[in-house]
Amino acid sequence: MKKQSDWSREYKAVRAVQMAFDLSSDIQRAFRVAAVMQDLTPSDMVRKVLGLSYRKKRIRPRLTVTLHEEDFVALAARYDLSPEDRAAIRERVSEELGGFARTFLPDHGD
Amino acid sequence: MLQPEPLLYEPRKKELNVDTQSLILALGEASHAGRTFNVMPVAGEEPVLQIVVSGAEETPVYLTITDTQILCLVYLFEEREIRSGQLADLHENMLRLSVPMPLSSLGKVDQHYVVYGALTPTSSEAEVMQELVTLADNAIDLLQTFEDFLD
Repeated sequence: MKKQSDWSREYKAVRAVQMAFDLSSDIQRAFRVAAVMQDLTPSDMVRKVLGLSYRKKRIRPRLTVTLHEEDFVALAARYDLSPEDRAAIRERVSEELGGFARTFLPDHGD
Repeated sequence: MLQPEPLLYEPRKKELNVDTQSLILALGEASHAGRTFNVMPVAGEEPVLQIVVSGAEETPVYLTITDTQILCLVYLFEEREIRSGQLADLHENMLRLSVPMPLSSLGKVDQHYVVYGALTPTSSEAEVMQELVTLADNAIDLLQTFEDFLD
């Protein structure tokens, strides 16, 4: 390739933008994680860090999943059940989610 | 005695380069086409501003200024987010879209696909605002356009 003009200053600028993006992404991720761990919304987490008023406990969101026709078909195959046997499928879903929660947070699984 | 001919146009005054400090002040107070700007300087070796344009909050614009240009950039997605086997088609689409897209072009920085616009450092604050609004809106349009290529 032909030697290009000296764009070293421009490369440096692009690198600076990249670092700024990485930094702000890391900060945002840290706030999301911290907020979840403290049962806060990310914006309340920001307010807490800044010493501003915030809601102490957010309303604990319910963990729900809406299962559609095709989901029952996929889950029936996963659990080797009939897609019509929705009660059994729901029970297996509940067991699997409980198992995940116990593995993920061993102290709070019960 | 010969009189100099009247000038038909005003000679352009020497224009001053925009700097990040003046932009922070100007954008914080301004609105352009009904849009406002939330400016956050990002600490680092070179001054970089993160600017959120109202109505396009999901696509923050990163701005930095060198001697030769004002570079405004929005991160779209990463290479690892592209669906398997779709890379060549996506690149073809990006190259074709890049020319007609107003004021913005597509590019890549490391593993990140970006949309960016560059202005002369002597641009007015209004021109910078126009660029920011257009770029943030273009980024949203592009994310919707490329949705099918991404996981």
